[in-house]
Amino acid sequence: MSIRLVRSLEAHTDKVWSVSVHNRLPLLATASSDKSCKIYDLTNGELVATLDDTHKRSARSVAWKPTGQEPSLACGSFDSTISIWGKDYDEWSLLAVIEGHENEVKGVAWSKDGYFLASCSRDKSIWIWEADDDNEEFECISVLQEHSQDVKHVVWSQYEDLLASSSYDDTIRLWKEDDDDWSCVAQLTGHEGTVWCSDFEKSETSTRLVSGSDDCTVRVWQRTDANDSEETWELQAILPQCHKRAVYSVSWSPSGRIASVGSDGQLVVYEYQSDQWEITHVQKLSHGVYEANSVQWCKPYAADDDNGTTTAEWLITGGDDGNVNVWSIS
Amino acid sequence: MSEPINANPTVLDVNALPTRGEDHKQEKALDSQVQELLSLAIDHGVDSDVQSQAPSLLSDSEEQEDPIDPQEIFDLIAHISDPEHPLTLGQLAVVNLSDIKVIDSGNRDEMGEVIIKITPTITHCSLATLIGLGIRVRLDRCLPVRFRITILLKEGSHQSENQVNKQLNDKERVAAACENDQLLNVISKMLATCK
Amino acid sequence: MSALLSESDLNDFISPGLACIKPAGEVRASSNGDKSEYEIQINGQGEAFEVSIDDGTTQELTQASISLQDCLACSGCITSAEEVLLAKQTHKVLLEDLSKFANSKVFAFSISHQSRCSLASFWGLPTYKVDELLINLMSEKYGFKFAVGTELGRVMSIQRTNEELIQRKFSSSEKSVQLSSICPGFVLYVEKTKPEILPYMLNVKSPQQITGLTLKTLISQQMSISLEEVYHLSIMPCFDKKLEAARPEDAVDVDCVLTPKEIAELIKEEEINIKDYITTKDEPPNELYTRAAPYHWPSPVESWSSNVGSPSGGYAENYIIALQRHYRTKGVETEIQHISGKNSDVLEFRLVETSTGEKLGSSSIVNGFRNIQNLVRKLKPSGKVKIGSGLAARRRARKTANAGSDAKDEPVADPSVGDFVEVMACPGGCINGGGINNGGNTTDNKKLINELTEIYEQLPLIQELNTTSDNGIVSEFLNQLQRSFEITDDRMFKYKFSAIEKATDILSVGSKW
Repeated sequence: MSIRLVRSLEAHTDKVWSVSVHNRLPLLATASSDKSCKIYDLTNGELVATLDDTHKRSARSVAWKPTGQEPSLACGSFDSTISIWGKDYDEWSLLAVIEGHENEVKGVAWSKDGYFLASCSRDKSIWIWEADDDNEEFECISVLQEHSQDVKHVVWSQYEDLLASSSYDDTIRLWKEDDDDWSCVAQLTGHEGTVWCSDFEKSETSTRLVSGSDDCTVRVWQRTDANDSEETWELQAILPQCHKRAVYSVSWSPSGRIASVGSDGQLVVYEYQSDQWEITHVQKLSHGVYEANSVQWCKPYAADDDNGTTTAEWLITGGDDGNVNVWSIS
Repeated sequence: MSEPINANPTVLDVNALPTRGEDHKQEKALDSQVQELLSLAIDHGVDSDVQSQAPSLLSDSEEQEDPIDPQEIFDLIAHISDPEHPLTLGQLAVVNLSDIKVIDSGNRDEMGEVIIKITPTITHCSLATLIGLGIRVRLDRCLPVRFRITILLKEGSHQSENQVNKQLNDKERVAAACENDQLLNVISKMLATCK
Repeated sequence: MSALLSESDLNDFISPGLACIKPAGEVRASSNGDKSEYEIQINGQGEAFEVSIDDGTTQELTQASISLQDCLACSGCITSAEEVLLAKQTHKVLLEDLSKFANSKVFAFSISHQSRCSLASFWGLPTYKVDELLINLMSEKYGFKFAVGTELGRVMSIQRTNEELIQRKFSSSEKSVQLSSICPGFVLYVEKTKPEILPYMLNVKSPQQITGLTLKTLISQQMSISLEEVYHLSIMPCFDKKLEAARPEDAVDVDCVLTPKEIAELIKEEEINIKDYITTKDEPPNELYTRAAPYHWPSPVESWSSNVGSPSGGYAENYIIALQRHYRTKGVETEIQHISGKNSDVLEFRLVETSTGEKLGSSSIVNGFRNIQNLVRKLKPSGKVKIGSGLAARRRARKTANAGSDAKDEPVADPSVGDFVEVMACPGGCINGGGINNGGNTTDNKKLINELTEIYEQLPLIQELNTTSDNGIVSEFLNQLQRSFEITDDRMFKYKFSAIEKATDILSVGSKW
């Protein structure tokens, strides 16, 4: 088993806050403090488009819409707006700017079928927007204000309309549609610091969530019971301690691996082996002496050895050095 | 502007502030208690390095740099002005040499750490977050990128210690604050007195 | 906002801004008009003095305190306002005021329909028994001299609303939609964070404020005392009503606002046995209503009745009814259609000409922050953004179409293009106000709202609004009141709206990021 740097993209001149890989296409999107988003072709590492001249402050998060004939994405910015971009006759263009949050938008995420866009902000709220197929009309269908602080990150399940939010109030909340509004169905407490990020397990039969926090831990939570208005979640494991500073991003791979990155610059991969989670890879200084802010698994878009075999999974990381690194885990 | 929250702060004489070299030694000689405190707080290996030339902080030319020591950190932040008073954080004893800890190998490719404990002038001072932010901005601008900076309120010095600490060390909140023009204006004024 | 004002179980329907509150320091600084230089010294006793640098004169400083007005005048969080409100308008303060002003003021209270419904549900009593209980309790135990229901004030507010809208519709060249300013939570939200919406606000005061002025005026006349010598307690379903009562233009009309929650708390703390204050008679205490009202109060019994329309007050529906009446006088026959919005908190009333089907006017109910958001976003055109209209409803329509039924092109409510919107910050409107007593049970809110709505709908209806708008008892009374006591229209009906600037001083900027 090995971890190998496939490619390093000098994507931005300032912090890379967020990376997102399209669910079907070899497209990578990035969001940066330099106020722009960039799109790269993962097969060759070439820059496809630069999405700029729109946000007045940092682009904080980026997320590909999983559906639609042409690829499109949402970008949340510290300027309190969300921009929607899409490919239209081979041109990447701005389709909409969504206003509503009172201040910094920190996370954006699309639901499994692209119907809903969730956004979260320092204004302590999560907004759920209903999107049309053309990405031109967005209507606010719910404003969720149960978090007592800053909401740092939102993510949807790939299998149901279940949203998880991570917050500065040290908790994670889960949300579902209830009659004609959305409501909180569970609150996960245990982290002893800001929860920066969470990600759902990629499994149709089991519903678990991994979370990373300022308390330097990575935790796995499992849903043990659920009905329409309430769910029971339990802490299943605290992953083996490796990070020495805040964990900023976690990602759960289709094959069941978990990856985490953070302020200490380490990229850590965990696997479930013989009844427990074990650390299988640690890449120190994944972005030199800079902090690593974002990590996401994706399938490999190039052969990882001379024979052309592709058994590996890829990891994409983004760091304060402005770079996006592509790693192969085999 | 409104009246200051702390109208009567205790002010230290500029000459009594710790400095490198001769003054530093004199001061130690003058006050053995201070000396003891400093020796407790400071990494001795770093402290013994005082006679070397101060390196250019942003030097990128060599792998091994001279490690950064607490006095250098103190010199960077002691001259920041208090947002309310025409006095510096050093004069107001908001920052103290003995409350600065540095872990640094001097290797450009290794992460280093700076931990600063600040003492707001009064316990309910709502400007603690602003002062902390000013210090963070100053260090972010001046220190090599390998450093992770932690700024904490000195234990018992503030009513909402944990809350302020959390905010001061939240990378995202700090980054967003640094894009707020109003806030940047205030901070620029605070940093204008830095040498 | 409503909810911030209570500790635990209220919901934040509109949350506060993060940019902070006016600093305490400014309170004093502004009172000190001149530009001389001062410094502050502390004497041996720890008292603060201000010493003029010019002439050495000293002045003792009062401890800085934030007043409710300061909170209202600030763009910031409402956290401080919360403290101030909880400190200045609580049942404990009421008890203090009662003893402090026992000999110098005449106490009167008014109570809203929603509050009566909430207490009726809480105690398991018919609404009119709650009325009886409160009137008896307040007069016998606490020395209140007067009590009225708020329907008179509400009718005046509705009539004024209708007059302004109809006049606007047929004479003004500008046809933009008008938004109700009855909900103080929404008003404050607009003043603080959406000043661009201010031109859309229909400036007509709420029943609380109109009731307050009317009550104080009639009592002062009857008792031959000044307005200031009348103390008015208002019982409202919403904590934001405390903010409304404290608006600078209305400071004297309402002295204290309590919610049903606080009334129940008062009764519990004072160990009052409610049975001591109710009779066994199973009918509305009409005689008591009459006795409790000021002598010149018009139709005191009807002031405890309700009117058609939503449990928030029925402003939207009554406008459409008034518009229909207006067309009828012109010989145009019309009908009112109810058109659903994308969720249960959006409803449009559309007036169409019966013969042609042409739309002649419309008004809507918009409740809850999410729907307010879509409304204000539609009113604020911003470049490339196209704002949706009823996507969810269209999707539902698509779904039902797919399921076999033919529900294509079903009209969807669009409040932003009508004449008027009844906007309430709370989902469900005022019947779900933050001060509604849920008995500590927050889990089954929907059930409670349904129950309260049922109780509300059982209130007797007055006829005033349905018959005539020009020469009704209320209009006549209002004319007389304004004439006799020289009350201008502005004093009677208008708020002084203003966009609230964000604080820019170091404290506000520096501490909140």
